[in-house]
Amino acid sequence: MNEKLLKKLMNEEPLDAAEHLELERALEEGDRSVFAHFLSSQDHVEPSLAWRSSLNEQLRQIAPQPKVSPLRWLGFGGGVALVAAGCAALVFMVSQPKTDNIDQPATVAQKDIDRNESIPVDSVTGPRNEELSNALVTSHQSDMAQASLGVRSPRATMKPATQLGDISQW
Amino acid sequence: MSHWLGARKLASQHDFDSAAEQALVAKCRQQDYDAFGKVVDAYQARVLGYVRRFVRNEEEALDVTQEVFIKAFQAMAGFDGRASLRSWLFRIAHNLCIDRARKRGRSPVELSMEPTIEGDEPFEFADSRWHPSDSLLVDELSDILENAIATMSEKLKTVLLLHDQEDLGYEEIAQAIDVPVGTVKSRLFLARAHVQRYVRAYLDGQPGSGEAPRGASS
Repeated sequence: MNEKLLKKLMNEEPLDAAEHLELERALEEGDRSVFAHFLSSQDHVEPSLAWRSSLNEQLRQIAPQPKVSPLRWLGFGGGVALVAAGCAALVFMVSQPKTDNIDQPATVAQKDIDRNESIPVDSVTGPRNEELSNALVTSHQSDMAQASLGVRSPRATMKPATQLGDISQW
Repeated sequence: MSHWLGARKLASQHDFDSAAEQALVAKCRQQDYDAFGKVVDAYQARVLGYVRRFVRNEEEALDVTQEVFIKAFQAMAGFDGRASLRSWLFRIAHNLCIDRARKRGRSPVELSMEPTIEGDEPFEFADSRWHPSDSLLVDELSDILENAIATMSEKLKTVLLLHDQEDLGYEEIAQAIDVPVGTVKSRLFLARAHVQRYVRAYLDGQPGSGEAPRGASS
């Protein structure tokens, strides 16, 4: 290689076409040299697993964390609210004082009897008892008429109110 | 020589084809940790092999190599894919090595090569002592070559390693170190000339080793 070209290469100056060709030729020869082959055949040494593990750890620290979607937060919040509501209901039920004022069926029946018995006879009579009497008579006559025809009045099947009182005797 | 080439084949098994690399890069851009792990698997040994030529010891080489991959992972979103993934990784490695050298206060040494006629002929190992089948001589050649590279300026060393060791093309090297292709070719020629002169000086019985051969003083 001539001196002028070598100086140009060292100074990294642009080359003319002939110089460029000369350089290409020299590089092609160099590609076939034993040095180039030796370098290209250098075996690469793999880093150790400990090194790799350390790198992984550092990469994991800088890797962006996966974002939790708002829906997921909503679901989580809803779950928490449900659990809280359940707990509140349980606490309310437990803390409620035990009461005995729930009437037993027998007591209810007795009260009805008492109420019926407590109605004074005079209360159904009075200034307008004529209308009531007429109504009762009309009703009675109607029942009688139905009985003569063989049809039972629904009221005939009704049990007297006093019979309810017997429930307490069961 | 066949032994060396065999080793080379093993070393390049991790390379991706273009489509696979593009798919991998797309995942890595989204900060996919697992996809980036495959990139590390493929290039960790090569990057380490490159970096260790520029730093003082193996431990520092391992640290810098980790830093290369961490920086690459952080900057992956900005990787436009114009350059190949490997040349981009070597670019990061190159910049980190230069930064380390500057921090050590050691500016890159320029090779000042006096034009000579005698040292410019292609060097061939006509001497039977250099038959590569002899492992001892291979080791010796390896040592000489290591010393020759160690005494080279970082500009030349970078191009020589990326081309002859890492098998990058001129364009890829130009992208990696951000210089024109013509400059890459010039530097490659000068780097090989440096090695040639170093070995010649060794064979001539001037194994100053650490000392650069004539024409390659630093």
